[in-house]
Amino acid sequence: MKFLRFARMDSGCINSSWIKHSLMGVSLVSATNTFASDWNFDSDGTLYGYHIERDINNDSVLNPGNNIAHIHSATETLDFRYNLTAQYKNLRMSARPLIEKSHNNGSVESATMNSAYLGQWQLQLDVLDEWSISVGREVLHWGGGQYRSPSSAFYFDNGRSNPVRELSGVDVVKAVWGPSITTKITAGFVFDAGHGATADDPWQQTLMAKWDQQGETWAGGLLAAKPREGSAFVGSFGQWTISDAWLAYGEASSSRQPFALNSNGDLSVPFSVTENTPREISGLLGIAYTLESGSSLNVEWLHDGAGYAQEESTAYFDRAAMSPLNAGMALRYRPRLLNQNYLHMIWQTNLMDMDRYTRLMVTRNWDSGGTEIAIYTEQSLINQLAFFGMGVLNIDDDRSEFSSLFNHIYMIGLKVTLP
Amino acid sequence: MKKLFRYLCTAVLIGSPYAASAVSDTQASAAPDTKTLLQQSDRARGGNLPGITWEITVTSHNGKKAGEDQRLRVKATTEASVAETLEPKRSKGAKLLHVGRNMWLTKKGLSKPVPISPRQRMHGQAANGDIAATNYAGDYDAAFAGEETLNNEPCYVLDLNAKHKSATYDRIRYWIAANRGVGVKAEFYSVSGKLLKTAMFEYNNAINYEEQNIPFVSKMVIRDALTPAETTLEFGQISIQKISTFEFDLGQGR
Repeated sequence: MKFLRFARMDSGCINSSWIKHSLMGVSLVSATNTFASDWNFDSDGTLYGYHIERDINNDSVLNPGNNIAHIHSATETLDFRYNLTAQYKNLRMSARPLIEKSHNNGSVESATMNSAYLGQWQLQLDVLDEWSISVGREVLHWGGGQYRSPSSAFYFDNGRSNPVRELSGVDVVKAVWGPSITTKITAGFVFDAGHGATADDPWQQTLMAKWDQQGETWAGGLLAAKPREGSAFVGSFGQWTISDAWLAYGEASSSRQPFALNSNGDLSVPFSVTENTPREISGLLGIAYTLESGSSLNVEWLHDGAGYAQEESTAYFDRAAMSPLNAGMALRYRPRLLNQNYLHMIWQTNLMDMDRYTRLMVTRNWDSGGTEIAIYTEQSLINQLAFFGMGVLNIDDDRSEFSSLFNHIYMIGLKVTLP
Repeated sequence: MKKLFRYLCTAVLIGSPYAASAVSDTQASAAPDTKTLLQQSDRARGGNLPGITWEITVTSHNGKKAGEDQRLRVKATTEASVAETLEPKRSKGAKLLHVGRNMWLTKKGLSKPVPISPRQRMHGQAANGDIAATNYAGDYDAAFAGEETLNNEPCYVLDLNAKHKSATYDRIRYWIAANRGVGVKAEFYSVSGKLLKTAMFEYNNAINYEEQNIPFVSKMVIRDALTPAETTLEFGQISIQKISTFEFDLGQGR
């Protein structure tokens, strides 16, 4: 734009060679306008305002009286999410800046937090028809799993359980070879774990390769990732469109966790932390049925090799109950999911409905029992204003996973799409 | 009478590049080449092109109740399509990707592209296949079913049966204008033969491809067979260009 402004000023100057300058100016304006018209710019933004209320379990074994985790019982958040894109021929730029202000109160001393960061950005160039190179902050995410994504090295928790949650990307440089629509081979290097990652994030510097392939009714992929310090991750995912209504999908991986909290059945043995655990297999199988109305029902089975068997999780709570020090250790080093086997069911309205959406999720911990029921709903009120709400109810005892910190949580909010 | 009809059509079409290959004068008394007819009519609806980009405005009403307008930008080849919602603003950026029979959806609030079943479809009467490039020649076996005059225009009538499950409809009865080589009416049927909906087409757009000026679809009006529901698709901003394979990858930050 500066160039355009200069060109226009130049064409307006009158001196001894004004004709020459004017012609130059006209040609510059013309060239610049042509250049500018070849660019496609686009943007959109959404403002979220929401309140979260948490019913903290004061009888928690891991956080008795909320004296260890100091969790706030209420949070008000104002959250602005913006998307910017610009495209010039085969070059594409995108950015997703996020600005968030949240006020935490209740239970413990109030605190206000402000943050502004780029959740995702990308500079991408398609070259020679079949190649694409890019650098940016990307959510490296794939597979059909809703509850968790075992095939992703970077996002085991894929954020699908909370539709308001924003996932921040990892910083990655990639080259993709796409000889056809149905075949893609990606090589990449994750050079930083992205916004909010801790200094000891295991995926700070990771080499990765991925192969995506599709057939007429199926799609699948293989992934290998090797962090500079740590063991290789191997993952795979696939989906099969069985019929108009039925869809099956699955994900699996083999990996070693950077650490594990050992909790065997002998309570005389204290907690200990092992680094670089033995290799474990995790997998998810899911099937979805879509009704004529577009509503769908998903049933998923997740096995996470990194979790505890029933006896280990019983010992985990028993050991944590022995002392606040043990409870703190149990909380800090708890596995990503406490147990190994989960049944997850989802009923949701048509995802393509623009006015309303409701999603009911029921999760059963198959090893130690306990059920989590969550419902999310969104309703358009007027053109660019929508209401959303979410409730989570944990039905189990104090020595079970879901109720270990909260009895229930609810969230209500409004979102405004900017004109 | 039928022979006279074919003779007249052939006489009118001698100068038409579409009809010339479909109905040669030596074949005037024989059934037309259905494959060629379909290929020509597909091209006027985005098929058999290296790639096409268009914008579609979708309006629906169910009797007196009008739905909200939707505007989409569609990039399509014969084997894949991606439809991006431009309006309404609150749904902007949502993308529906279709490759073979595989479908994915991504939109605000979804942390990753979600695989969906073909049954999850757009609002109104439009099927996902209606917004993509048409490939009836590849997706259906065609049988010549006679001639009819529709809105004072002589038409060939074809019965189409799906060759594979990825076809949008199981059976179609398709009217192709004999002198223009474009599909002007379609009836869509279930496997059991039940009429599901009817579509009428208009061709007030034109594209230039391989030095030919080709009439191009501008409007598709779809009426439900059992209810007063009606959906209108208006096509504009059409450009013919090769589309990068990376456009059909929702994981590429597109």
